Amino acid sequence: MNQPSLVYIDANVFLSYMAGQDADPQQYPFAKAFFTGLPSGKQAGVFSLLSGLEILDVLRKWKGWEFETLSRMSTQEDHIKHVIEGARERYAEIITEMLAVPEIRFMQPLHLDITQLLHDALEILSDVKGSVRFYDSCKICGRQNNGQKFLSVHKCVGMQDVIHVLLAKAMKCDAFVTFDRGFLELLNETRIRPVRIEVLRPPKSSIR
Amino acid sequence: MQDNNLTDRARLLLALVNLSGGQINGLTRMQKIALLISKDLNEDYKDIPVFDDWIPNKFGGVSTQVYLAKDELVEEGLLIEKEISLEKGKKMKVYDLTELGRHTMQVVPLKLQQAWQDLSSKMQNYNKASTNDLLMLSYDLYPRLAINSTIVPEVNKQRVKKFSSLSPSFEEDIGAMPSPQIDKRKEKIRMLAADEQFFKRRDYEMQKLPDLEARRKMAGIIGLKKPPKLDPYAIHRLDSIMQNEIPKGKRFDPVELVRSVRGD
Repeated sequence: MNQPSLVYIDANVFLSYMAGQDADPQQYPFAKAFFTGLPSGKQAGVFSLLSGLEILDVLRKWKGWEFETLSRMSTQEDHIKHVIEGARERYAEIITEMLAVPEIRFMQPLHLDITQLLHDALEILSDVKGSVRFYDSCKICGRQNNGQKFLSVHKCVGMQDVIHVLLAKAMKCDAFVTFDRGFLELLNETRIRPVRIEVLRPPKSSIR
Repeated sequence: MQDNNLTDRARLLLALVNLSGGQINGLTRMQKIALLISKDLNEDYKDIPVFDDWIPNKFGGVSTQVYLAKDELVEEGLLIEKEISLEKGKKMKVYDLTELGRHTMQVVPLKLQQAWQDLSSKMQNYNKASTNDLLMLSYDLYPRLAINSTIVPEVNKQRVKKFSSLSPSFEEDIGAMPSPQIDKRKEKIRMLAADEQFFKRRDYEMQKLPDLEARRKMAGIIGLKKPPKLDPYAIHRLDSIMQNEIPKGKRFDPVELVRSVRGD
């Protein structure tokens, strides 16, 4: 019997599918096609604890943005309780559903040498240079400059990105699937072989 | 019928417990019987689903499918799992067929009748063997599955003891296994040993550990006693599960969001 190929799923692919069509009309159809294609048995998705922590972090961030609810609470203790416990409860509900999905595997690396993994990550990062890009608008402050570029940013695959891919390799995954085009920088990186980087229809907004 | 809802592998495990006299003492014994029978059946009946996700563990080959089938039978009320205390503080799980389980086994689908008969004769041999004998047999036949075993010295000690004494019971046990069958298996071992490519592939497959343990741990982390039952529709329930969490008025871009929590 052929084993399904194992695909490490980046947190952004999980988030897109779990956010739905209305929240992410551009990428959701591709996330949905990926997840609903899993029951065919050719692929199994891999959920890592690291992706799980990132999803929990996103939930905390969102809870922290609930200004109206938070502003009605009087103490910092209540604020923190709302954010931390609220996120944790919701996370538990989501993971409970995820645990019932036969096609998602929760496997962890068997004999992970964390020192070796960090060493590899460091080596890869020292070789990946990225690029400097110039912009005429800023997503953070909203400033627009009528076609005149005023902002420069160094875009490069980050330490955590590399660690995710190395984890995928440690878990003997066949592929790493993401929406983040930044990972294309690792396409020819021999130290992550044989893991294939697959960017699900990269939208332009994701170009680093 | 109750068994219409059972998965094929749960039905196979139910048959193994039934043919073991309605009781299997110990999870290790259950795993070893399932291993030996699965390999046998797989040779003769290609279309019958057997346990086929064997990986090397501390007691030799272990299959998550066996655990899942066992859990399924317990949940369906066809099998009772109880824990008994042994000497030196050790504990062992015992599995007993329930009345419902016995009743379920009375009806064998037509296409499985021949296989079930063969299974019955194979099980007669294994029923005579102790768990230690089954361990020895499985280590001999499937040495690659014994590579992570922590009880090899103990198994070998028992082996030496047995071979050196050459007790009548040992000869009886050997007599229970037809010699052509042993020869056939020895030949198979030689073939496997020669096929380095196969082993490489197997190593790769074995590293793809089934995730039951990780699933259990994850369930523990979020406060569940055990993972929820696998459900083919669960993947659809994940669809848009977070839609109410997304803050209103904020732009949602999962790539940017994940980058932000990664500190990029």
